[in-house]
This record gives sequence, C-alpha cells and structure tokens, in this order.
Amino acid sequence: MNAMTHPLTHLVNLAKPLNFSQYSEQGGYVGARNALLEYSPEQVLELVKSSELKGRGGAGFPTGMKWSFVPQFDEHDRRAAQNKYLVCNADEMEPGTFKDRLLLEGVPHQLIEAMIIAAYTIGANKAYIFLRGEYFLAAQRLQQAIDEAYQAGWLGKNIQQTNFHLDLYLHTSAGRYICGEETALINALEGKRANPRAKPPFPQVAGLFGKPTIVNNVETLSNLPHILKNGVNWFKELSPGSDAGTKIYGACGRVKTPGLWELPMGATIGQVLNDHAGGLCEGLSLKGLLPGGASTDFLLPEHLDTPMDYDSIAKAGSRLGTGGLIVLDDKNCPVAMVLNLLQFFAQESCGWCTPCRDGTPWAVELLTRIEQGTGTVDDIDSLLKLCDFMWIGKTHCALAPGAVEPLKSALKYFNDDFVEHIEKGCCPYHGGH
Amino acid sequence: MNIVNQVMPHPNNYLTDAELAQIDHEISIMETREAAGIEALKIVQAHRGWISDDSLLAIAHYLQMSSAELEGVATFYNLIYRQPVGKFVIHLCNSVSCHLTGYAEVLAAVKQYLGIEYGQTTQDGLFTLLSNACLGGCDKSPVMMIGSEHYQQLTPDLAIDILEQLKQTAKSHGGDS
Amino acid sequence: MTFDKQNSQVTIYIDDQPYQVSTDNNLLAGVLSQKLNLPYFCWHPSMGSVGACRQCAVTQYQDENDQRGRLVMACTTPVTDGMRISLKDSQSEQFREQVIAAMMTNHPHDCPVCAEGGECHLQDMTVMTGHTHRNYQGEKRTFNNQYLGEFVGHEMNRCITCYRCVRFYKDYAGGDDFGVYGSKNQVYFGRQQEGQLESEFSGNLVEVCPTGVFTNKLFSAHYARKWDLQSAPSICAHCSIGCNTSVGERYGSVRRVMNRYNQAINGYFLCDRGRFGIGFVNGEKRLRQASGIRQSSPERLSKLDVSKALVHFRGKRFIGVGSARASFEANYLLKQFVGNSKFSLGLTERQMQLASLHQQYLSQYQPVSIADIEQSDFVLIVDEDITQTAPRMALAVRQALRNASIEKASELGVPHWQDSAVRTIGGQELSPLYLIQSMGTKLDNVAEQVIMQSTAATIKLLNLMTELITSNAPLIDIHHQGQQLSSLLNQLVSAKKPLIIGGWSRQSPQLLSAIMSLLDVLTKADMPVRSAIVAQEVNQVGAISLLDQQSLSVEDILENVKQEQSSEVGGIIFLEQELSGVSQTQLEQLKQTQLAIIALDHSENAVTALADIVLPAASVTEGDGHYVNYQGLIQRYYQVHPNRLPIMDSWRWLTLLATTLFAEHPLAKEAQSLSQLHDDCRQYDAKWPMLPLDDHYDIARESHRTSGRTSKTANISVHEPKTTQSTDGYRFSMEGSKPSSTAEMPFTWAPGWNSNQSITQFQQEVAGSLLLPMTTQYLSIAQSIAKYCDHSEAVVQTSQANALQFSQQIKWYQGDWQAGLTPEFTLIESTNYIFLSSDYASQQGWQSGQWLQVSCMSSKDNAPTSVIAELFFDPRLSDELCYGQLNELATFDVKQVSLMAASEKQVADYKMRRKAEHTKAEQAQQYMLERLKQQDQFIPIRLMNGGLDDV
Ligand SMILES: Cc1cc2nc3c(=O)[nH]c(=O)nc-3n(C[C@H](O)[C@H](O)[C@H](O)COP(=O)(O)O)c2cc1C
Ligand code: SF4
Ligand code: FES
Repeated sequence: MNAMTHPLTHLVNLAKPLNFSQYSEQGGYVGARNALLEYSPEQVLELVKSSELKGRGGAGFPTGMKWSFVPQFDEHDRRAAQNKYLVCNADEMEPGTFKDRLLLEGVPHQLIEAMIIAAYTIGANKAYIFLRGEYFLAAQRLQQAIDEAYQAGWLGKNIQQTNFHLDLYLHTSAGRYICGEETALINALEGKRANPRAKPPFPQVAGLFGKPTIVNNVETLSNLPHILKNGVNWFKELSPGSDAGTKIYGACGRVKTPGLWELPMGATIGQVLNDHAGGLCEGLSLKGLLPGGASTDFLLPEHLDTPMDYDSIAKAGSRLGTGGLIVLDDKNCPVAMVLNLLQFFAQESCGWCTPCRDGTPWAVELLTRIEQGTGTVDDIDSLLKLCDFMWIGKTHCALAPGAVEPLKSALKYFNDDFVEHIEKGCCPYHGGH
Repeated sequence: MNIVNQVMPHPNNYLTDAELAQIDHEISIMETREAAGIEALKIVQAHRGWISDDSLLAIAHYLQMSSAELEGVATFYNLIYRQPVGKFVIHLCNSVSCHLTGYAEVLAAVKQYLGIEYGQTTQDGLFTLLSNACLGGCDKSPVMMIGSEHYQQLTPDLAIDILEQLKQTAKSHGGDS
Repeated sequence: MTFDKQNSQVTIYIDDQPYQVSTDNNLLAGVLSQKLNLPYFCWHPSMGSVGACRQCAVTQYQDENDQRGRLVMACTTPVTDGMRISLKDSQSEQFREQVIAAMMTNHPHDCPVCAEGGECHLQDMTVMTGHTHRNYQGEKRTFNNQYLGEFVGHEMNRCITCYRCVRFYKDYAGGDDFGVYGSKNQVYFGRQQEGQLESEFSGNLVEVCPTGVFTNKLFSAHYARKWDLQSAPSICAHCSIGCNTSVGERYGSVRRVMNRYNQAINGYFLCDRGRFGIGFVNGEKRLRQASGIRQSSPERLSKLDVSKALVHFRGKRFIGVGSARASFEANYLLKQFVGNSKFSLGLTERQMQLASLHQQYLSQYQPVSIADIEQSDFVLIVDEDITQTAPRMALAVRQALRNASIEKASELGVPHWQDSAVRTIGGQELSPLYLIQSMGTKLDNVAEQVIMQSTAATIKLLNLMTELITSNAPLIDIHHQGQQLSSLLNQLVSAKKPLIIGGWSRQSPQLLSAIMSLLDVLTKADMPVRSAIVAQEVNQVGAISLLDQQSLSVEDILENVKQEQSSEVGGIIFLEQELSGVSQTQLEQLKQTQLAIIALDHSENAVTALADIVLPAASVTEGDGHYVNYQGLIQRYYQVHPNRLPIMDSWRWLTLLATTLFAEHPLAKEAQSLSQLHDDCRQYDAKWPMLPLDDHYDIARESHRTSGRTSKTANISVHEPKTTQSTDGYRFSMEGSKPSSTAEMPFTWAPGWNSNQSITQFQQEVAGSLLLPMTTQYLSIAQSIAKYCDHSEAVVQTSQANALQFSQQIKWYQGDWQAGLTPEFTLIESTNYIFLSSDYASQQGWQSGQWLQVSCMSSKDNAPTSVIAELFFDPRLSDELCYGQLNELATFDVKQVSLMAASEKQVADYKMRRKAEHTKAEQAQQYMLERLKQQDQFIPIRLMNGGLDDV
C-alpha cells in the first residue's frame, strides 16, 4: 500500500496506531501545515471545492459546497464573526458499516489533522468528535492522539505560531442510530434528546448551540490532509470514474473474506465482492446485496458490473450509501433479512414523526406474520402501501425512507419468496443455516 | 429558579468527588451545563453500574436542569441504564450482518446458558442480556459487547466460553475481597 | 407573537380555486382560515409548527401544468403568491388517511369511557380523513398512567405522540416538571415521578391534547358529554385579568370551565385558578337559604317575609360595603341606595390610597392588553408576582421574551411560526426581563436580572431611576446598583415596546406612586412605554371607579360604628364582602354593635357568620352582570344555570331590599331582568356607563345533539316540563340560534369540528379576531378620591432584635377567596416555608430544611401570631429580608417577622393539623360529589322566572 494510491489507509495500524511523531515522520501534518501556512481559508475552500470531494457519510453531498454555506470571510457580516463549530460524525451505526472504525482505531492522527484543516477553513475555534459510545478502543486512541496534538502545538492557542486557535474535544455518545443524522447529532451533543431538527435552518447557518456548524463524516474529513498535500489533480486522478478520490469499500455477510478495502472510487461491485471479499462462502451463491449499508435498495447478481460511484449505483436503482456491501446468500431467507432490517429501523426510530414511529413497527408486524407463515397476500399490499407512506418527503428525516429502500426493493426482487411464505404457511428457508 | 426546586434541594454530597471532577470537565468543554448531561449520566453509571432515581436527581440538580428534562435524555439513549443491571451487561448485536451469520444460534445458546430473556438479569446478579444495534464489527460477525470489550466471530460455544470465563473471574474476585 | 407583522394578502389556488391568504402565517393556517377542512395535530395556532405528526400534508404543484405535484406539510410551508395546492387529490388524501391509520395502530378503542368523547379532535380528524376501517392486526402498546395531582387525569394509552402537551407545558408555559421520555413508538409524556403538576397552567393540557390523555379530573368525577351540557359565556371571576370562559352545567351543577377564545385577552389558554377554581359554586360552604328572616312558609321565602323583616329599619340610613368580586351593577346600586357618604368597598385606609392612585393611573393611561404584552421587547416587573396573582399575564410575558429569538430567526428568513426552527436559532436568547422584587418567583430563571430587595428599597430605586431619567445624570457613581441599573435603563429607553408591570399585592401606595412617577417621566419624554397595574380581584377596577371623596374606609366604618348610638345609621349591608383583610378584633367590634348587619353572599365567611340577616347571593355562574378588568374593559357574564331560589343575583336582592329600605329612591323597584335594570339606571343617571348588553339573540345553551328535555327527566316523568325562561338572550334549551350567532359563544361547535378547536371556523383568520366582533367597551375612570398626601410607609416598629422584613408569597390557588373554597385547592397547598439568606441563617446556626417558629407582626393587629415554617436558603437575599409562604396568614398583611428554632412538638403538631385539614378537604370533596350526584336524580328544580314569589 502506498501513500499515493491508498491515502486513507496506508498508515492504518490496528494493532498500534502511529503516535504523533511516527505519524509526522510518515508525512503527517504536512497537509495541515500547508493549509495553515500557505493558504488563506478562502483558498483552502477553493481547493476543496475543486477537488470535488463528496461526503462519505451516506448522502454524498459535495463537501466544499456544504462549507461555503457557513457565513464567513465577510467582515461586515456580524454572523461571520460569531463562534462556529466543526463536528466530526463518528457515530457509525449503519448496519453493515464499519469503515470509520478502521480510520479511528488505525490512524487517529489523520482525523485530527483533517479537522484542523476543516476548522481553519470554516473559521471554527471549537471542534468535537462525536463518537458512538460502543467504540471504546477508538475513544481511547483518539483521546491519546488529541493529547499528543495539544502537546505538539497542533491544537490549542496559536497553532504552529499562527493566529489560529482550535480546541478539539471528544464526545462519546450513549447509543442510538439516529444520532448519526446530523441535526439529531447536534441535539445529542447539546445534551438533548436526539430528534432531528427542522430544516431550515441548516446547521451551516444555525447548528450547535445555534451557531454555524459543519458536520462531516470521518472518511470525508480524512481525505483533506492528502488533498492539501498532494493537490487537487492528484485527488481527482485517483479514480477513473466520475467521482474523485478513493473510497473505503466493505463487504459482510457470508462471504469468504469479509473486510474493508480502499479502492479508487468507482470500483465495481463485482471487484469488491469477488476480487476482495473472495466471493460467497462454500456452497452458497449470491441472492442479492445491499450496496451501501442497511438503508440502501437491494441489487441483484446482474448488477455486479456496476461501478460503485454515486451516479452508477443510483442508475442501478440503489444508493452508494456508505459503500459497505451486505451480501445475501441463497440459503438465508430474504424475508427474514428484511424483517431484521425493519426491526432495526423500528427500534431506532426517534419517535418524532408518525410515518416512521408507527409505520416501521407496523411493517415489522406484517413481516413477522409473513415470515412465520401466517401472513396473507393482502399483507404484501399493506407493506407496499407502507413503503409509500414512509417515503421521502413524507417523514421528518431520512431514517424512515432509509428503511423503505431495502423493503421496497425486496418486495420487488424477492416477491416470489414472500408469496411462497404465504402459500406454504411457513418459511421455506428454515434450516438453511 | 423554581420555588419547588428551592424547597426540595438535592443533597450536594450525593455525587463523589471523582464523579464531580469528571462531570466538571465535561461541563467545561460545553457552552451550557446541560450539554454535559449525557456524559454526566455515563460517568455516574460507570461508577455505580446504573442510574438510579437518586442519581438522576443529583445529576439534574448539579447541572441546574429539571429532572424531567434529564429523564427525557436518559430514557432516549440505550446505553443509559435506568434499571439495575448485572455486573456484566451483554450487548448482543442483532443487526443484519450478525443476523446473516448466525446470531440466532448464539442468542439461543446465551439465553439457555443464562436462563434469561432479553432485558433480564441473572439471579446471581452477574449478567444482564440486552440487544444492541450494529456494533460495527460486521466483518467479524456475530459480535457482542460486554463492558468495553467487543467479542467477535462468535459461535454458540465461544460465546458460552466467554461468559464462563467472566463468571470465573467474578467468582475469584468475589473470593478476594 | 411577532411584532411588526407584515400582513399582506396574496392569491393562492386551492384545488384550482383562488383564495386570498395572509403571508404572515403558514399554509395550514391559511387553509383553515378559508374554513376549509385540513386535519392536523402537532400544529397549534398559538404554538406554531414543528412538523411532527405529518397529518397536514397537501400536494403542492409548481404551476398549472404540473400534474404530479409533491407532498408538503402545510404547517411548515410558507404561503407564497400564486402557489397552487390541492387538498382533494388522491395522493395527499391517501397519505392523510394513512397517518391516522398509523396513529390508530396504538390508540385504544375506548371512546365510550373516554371523557374526551364527543369533543375529541382525534375523532374529528379521523372522520375527516375518511379512515373508517381498521387494518392493523398486531398488539397495541400499553403504558402505566401517572397520578398527576388533583386536577389532571392521565391515560397514556390514548396518546398519539403529537408532542403538543410537552410543547405547551415546557416550551410555552415554562413548566419544568413535565417531559417526554423514551423513544421510537414508546414515547411517554408525564412527570419524572408521579405527583401534583406544578405549573399553574396544567389544565390547558386538557384542551391542548387532541385526544383523551389529559382530562379534567373534576369534570370526570361528575361527568356529562359535551353535547349534554348547557353552557354560557362567562368571565373568570378569579383575578383582574378577566379571561373569557365557557362554563358548562348539567342538572343545576357546574361541571367544568373551558377556555373561550378572546384574541385580546386569554387567546387559547386559561390558568388553573380559572379552570378549576369554579368548584366553589358547587361547594359545601354555599349559602342556599336566607337566615335571620322569619318565613311564613317553611318551604319558601317570600317577598313579604323579607319586607317584614326589614320594615322597622325604614327611614334609617345604612352603610353599604361593596366589594371587588360583586358585579358592577350590584356595587353601583348599593352606592346609589346608601348614598356617597355611606359607601365603602371594605378597603383599609392604605388600600384607599392605593385605590386613589389606581384611579389616577387609569385616568391617565390605557393599560396594555394581554395580547399586546406578547409584543413587548422589554419587560420590567416591579414587586408583583404575576405568576401567582395574574397567571395569564405571566404567560403572555413569557411569550414576549421570545421576541428576541423570533427577530433573530427572521433575519435568517425563518418565519415566527416555525416554532422548533425559531427555538434552534434563538437558543437561550430571550428579550430582556427585569424583576425588582422582594421574593423569588417563577419568572426568575428567564429574567435577565433579578434585583432582590425589600419593597422600601425598591421604592427608592424607582425614584432614583425617575430622577436619573429626568436629569440625564450618569448613574454609575451615584448608586451601588449602578451597574445593574444602567443596563436596565439603557434597555428600557432603547426598547421599541417597553412594558412596565406593577400591582397591588405589596399593598404599598408608595410603590404604586413610584411606578407612576417613572411612567410619567418616560411618557413625558415621549418614550413608547406601556404598562399594566394588576388589581387584586375580578371587578376591582369596576368597584374602585365608584369610590369618591366621601367613600369610607374600613377604619372609617369602625369609627362610625363606635358612634353608632348617636348616629342615624341603622345597619350595614355587606355586598359579597368577606372582609378578609380585617383583624379578628375588628370583626369583634362589628359584632358587638347594635347595628343590623345584612350580608349578601354566596358562601359562608366571617361576615355572614356575624350577620343578622344573610341573603343567599348568586355565584358568577348563576348570575348576570358585568365585571371590569384591569384595563377597565367591561365584560358581561351570563347565567349558566338557573339559580335555585331563594338564591338570587345581588342586584336583584338590592332592588328588593330597596323597596322596603330605600323606598323613596327612584331605583327602588324590583328589576325583572338585567336589561331592565340597565334601562332604569340609564334613565336615572346620566353618567350611567353604557355597559354592553345585547340580549336579543335567543341562542341555545345546549347543543342540537343534546339528549332532549323529556329524556332528562324520564326518571321522574316523561311529561315534558316547561323550559326555564331566560332573560339574557341565551335559551335553556336546544332550540334557538346557533352558538356562533354571537361573538360571545356559549360553546363552540362547527360541522366536523366537535372540539374547542372548532373556534378556527369562527375566526377571521387563524388566531385572529372573531368573525363577529367582540364588544370592547372601557369604563371611563376619573380620579375622584383626592390623592392622599401622605404616602409614607408605616414601618412597623418592633422591639424584637432579630426582626426581618418579610414578603408573603401568595400562591395562585390562594389569592382569590372564592376559588380558595374549592376543596382540591386545600389538597395541593404546600407546607409553610421561609427563605432566608444563607449568611443570616448560618449566623443563627440554622440549617436548610429545619423548622422555625415565625412570629409575625401584622400591620392589622399588633398582636403577633406565631406559626412554624420550614427553612430554605436563597442566596440572593440580604440579611434584612426574607420571604415565604405562611398559609395561616395568607390573608394578613405581614410585614415583619422574627424567627427562632421550632420545637419538635411544634412540628409534629403542625403536621398533624395539616393532615387533619387534608382529610377534611377530601371528605368535603367526597361529600359534595355524593350530594351532587344525588341531586341529579331530583330535577326539575324550582326555576327562576320573575323573582322570589314566582311559582
Ligand atoms: C438516520 C441517519 C443516520 C445517519 N448516520 C450517519 C452516521 O452514522 N455517520 C455519518 O457520517 N453520517 C450519518 N448520516 C448522514 C449525516 O446526516 C450527514 O449527512 C453526514 O454526517 C454528513 O457528512 P458528509 O457530508 O461528510 O457525508 C446519517 C443520516 C441519517 C438520516
Ligand atoms: S423519520 Fe421521523 S421518527 Fe423516524 S427518525 Fe426521522 S424524525 Fe424520527
Ligand atoms: S400539523 Fe403539520 S405536521 Fe403536524
């Protein structure tokens, strides 16, 4: 692995991450130094914009554009002068997603360096890492790295003798998937119940404690040091496809070698599944897969050649999401899998809006009956209606539509399986394990 | 300040110095006192195992927020225990990757071994069994978390071995003291 | 809510029809303002939008050619010129039905036993969406319910999770003992632990909750369906704000009080004193018979009996003591009959000074309305705990404090009605509220600054402020509070809509005078200052408008009484006057005179106890009349249920008495109706104020769905009894004009809208004024008592070394004598407590939580009384000042106390006494219920037509 082809992961060491000086010796903090000493915040913003970096948290929103909504650079705008915040979204709770953990546990200094760059650009003097509570090892390693960075003068007052100050704090959460939604995350950080907020105002304008706030994913941020070190062109050329940079892809389920791989953006599903994850386990064949976490639509074996970039996956009828494949084999019951997914979403609904709060448990109820063989054909119809009911625009946030994606696509692709459950009055896969 | 709060102040000596020091640190990095609420709950829970009503009231009082508000927070997050739990709280991941790779068998074995259902605590007070959403170990599923430890690539036998070992350490510790 | 409303109307297309809609509110409000049906839950006209329930979805189209459109939540969508939406398209219709269906997955089917049944917003909305069939087959979740105190019932299984309750209780009303717990579809609303709800607005949960989670316990205990109630428009009789209420009765007993929308005053909310304090009407202390009069027939008191009993006083003069809780009419008549020089309101000398100043204030200023209070951008409250003495006003002040956030949000283009967005943007930022006061209050934690000091110090401070504004002097060096003062003054003079509030409760003329001087200089300097002075009782302003140079104080009356032998005075008529501020000794003095004491009142009290003749007077719900609120606004209350003879309106009693006692007086003829009385008064007195009186609607007090007359009495006879005749424009029947034929609606109902939320159908636009205008007539008040020159505080000198200045905290359930007769109010009374500065207490060696013996120096009676109270610390207090609640002395004007540790025995005795009081109140509650339910079996009651001798 090398720094130019595997920028995000080449320094990962899960057994013992690099400490400050080791990380610096390996070329760390060069990007941050470039940003602080060579560029103005405006210039860094321009670089990030032209790099075409897109958010790796699931939605794929262009990072530079997001940053540009923060009131800044205008001396006459009193809002530009107020406190601003940078928050790293390290809540990673999307089932089937474990990529941020690799970066957090394996190369914590990279994230800190990235956050220094981001905070400098948007003019934030306080930053938080919002880490999910279950990542104890990551918490310990991050805190250690933060302490080292303070000691080395990369955090605190007058960083590297510039006028720039930054305090970086680690906040560990207390569970719940909805905290990953950025406005719910902000509420959680304020010590409140993590219901998503109404938008507008967007966090870039009024976020943490009512102040302009940028929330970015761990992987998104981790690209920054490398863009600042190696340049925009390098970054764009990393990928042959339409999206810039590399992406950490993953695979789980009953595949031979589940894991994570940093590949150029746009590697195909087949490459990830077969070349890296080794294909399905002995005796199993591919039934379908979720390309980017639990809240994406199923794709089928016929989609193996689809490049895993935002547009191509969308064209195939799903979403790139977090880029973690969840692989369904032919011996696992698709109805049971969808039931499991919906149980997750019903369990993790924040309870704010009706379609999600009462719709997801309703779907669970219907799926349970179908899975147990007591469902009827009408239940499939009811499920389809629920998919419509919880779709985008009808709910307060994206959690419920996320629940609909696997459900709706399963009803489409695996309709026969649903019908078979109903007709046979039992699960045809029983004993499949 | 509410009159009623004034009338029923909570004793200031409920929280220990160690707890207060940690909570103070969390307060210091936030803009408001109540923003430290979740961390404060976690701190007290780390010291005492769970959040009793008394703990909740003491923290709310210390953070100058209403107990209703803090209760709203405490009951929202699944890693805050508002009921007594066992010495070891087992968080067994029940999300999709674990589901696909044998979670059901592990669960059945654990339940049988402990003789409890989800949400219950063993009679000896050692284990509480809870489910947990995806623990982020999907490449090494099934997974469970006990305390701050993640146990991966579980099989029914492995899971029971782990519980057995914990039981042993608890016993020998119990014998020491 | 906002100031600078830019209310522009634009055209929008709803299902291709053009409508003129205001851009100042959201699309849902716009649609409802057109009287179109669109269901909703989480939105509330006063609380704005949060987009939680998703019930109000409509389809919005980009232009005429857009066929698909997209679903939007009307409550979070602004109104824009030319926008096109559909309510009837199948997409949005189906979605709205699905929302209800989803809510119904957990809602129980317990409508038959639900107190909300028949006026349930959820029922209405369910029908509106066409959801008539249950699809869900799974289990319903269940919750445990909580005991939430004496007033509000809790049935969580009915919850549809619209979040309105917590938004009202916590966000809108500032209560901190109620919250939302849990998550997913296990969201729970209630207290952290069971117990009495502490907010003085808890009763609004009943109306705010769109289903039956929160119910009025007092109503449920003696329940009738909404459609079986007879209702009439009334005015809350429990403080000087004059909130509009709708009172429901059945079989002659009052069942409940609901909010009656009045945009300028109470809007959508009442306080608990108003909602639950009505219990006195049915109470055990009611006077139902005359006493002191020999009746010729044991069943019935006749006019002749009355006149026989009085005839030997003919030609004698009487002193008349009116009151601030009797109607304007009754007070007026009393004064006319006894004459100017014999008229009193039972006010002490000091209170007469206050009254004089208040007259002067009202003659110079127009007090600000509750709705206008919400527009303020700076509020200064001077030594008046409005959270307890005028709770509805305090609620308005809370809303005013949000204006800073609303303004900040509007800078970001977020409109005021986006409630959660405004709160996100505003954070903890509030418009400035300054409190200068001698005790802690519930507004302290939203105040920019609380200056805690004695009333005497406050008077000095106000005078200093006045001086500073007059002289424009720099103040930092002059005063030790310079820093505080300068920020206060700076904000006061730079505010666009500053507001100053004061009141009577400190009983200090000096304080009122100081407030008025400050108002004077500000007004003279052309500052846009607005103000309100809170009076103590419902008709206090109406009553003091009758005071003049010759009126008597209590001291004057006692003086008169002493000389009674020599005077020509035959007796005293007390009009609904309990003389609560008068000492035991003074009452003794009265008792010992030879004077005849005639008391007209609705419930037993110290005065009726010593009276020779007691005449049972109508309570507010049995009577007709007018009250004048703190602004001078004259408001009519109507009879809700027929008075059971011999109970009669005080003004009827007075005209009846006058035919014997004051026969020469032109008004000494028995009035048959309020309007006749008014006619007589108008003819007699050129200065008679034109009280609004529109008695010609013939509006039904009962809904058209009411169970008919015959069925009501079927246990006795199926013969249809004659309906009670009424004289006030509202019929005791289901026949008659619609309730909405007047702005003073007896109840609200519209097709498809059975809950109180039907009010939208009768507003020009949502939360705006009513379609039919409310009469807003103000009493013109001139200063007619010459200002007492001497306003020096009578400082009680005391010999005790450790005497402290003391301020009594009067709770909302105590301040009004009549409401206080409600047994539940006794049940929620807190134990005595006293707050001291921690320094002072530690000097004495006292601990927080210990009990002290408090010896009181009342300015009324110089004999100290001693009570015990639990000690707490308030670090803001100085060593000379303390405050607290001493229930036994709630009606006394205690200014100074001295303290010592209490003995264990004293504490034990006290606790035992309280327990006994509780038991007594619980028994009274039970007894009353039993009696009422039994009484329900014995209708028809004897009905009121022409007066006492009517058959
Ligand atoms: C229900 C829900 C859960 C989410 N969870 C996460 C998460 O765990 N981590 C994450 O980075 N983004 C998560 N997101 C996306 C965030 O809202 C947000 O888009 C992201 O943090 C932005 O960062 P990016 O622009 O760097 O991708 C979630 C979104 C939703 C709706
Ligand atoms: S869709 Fe609604 S209920 Fe579900 S998590 Fe989002 S806001 Fe909460
Ligand atoms: S009323 Fe519009 S979403 Fe609830």
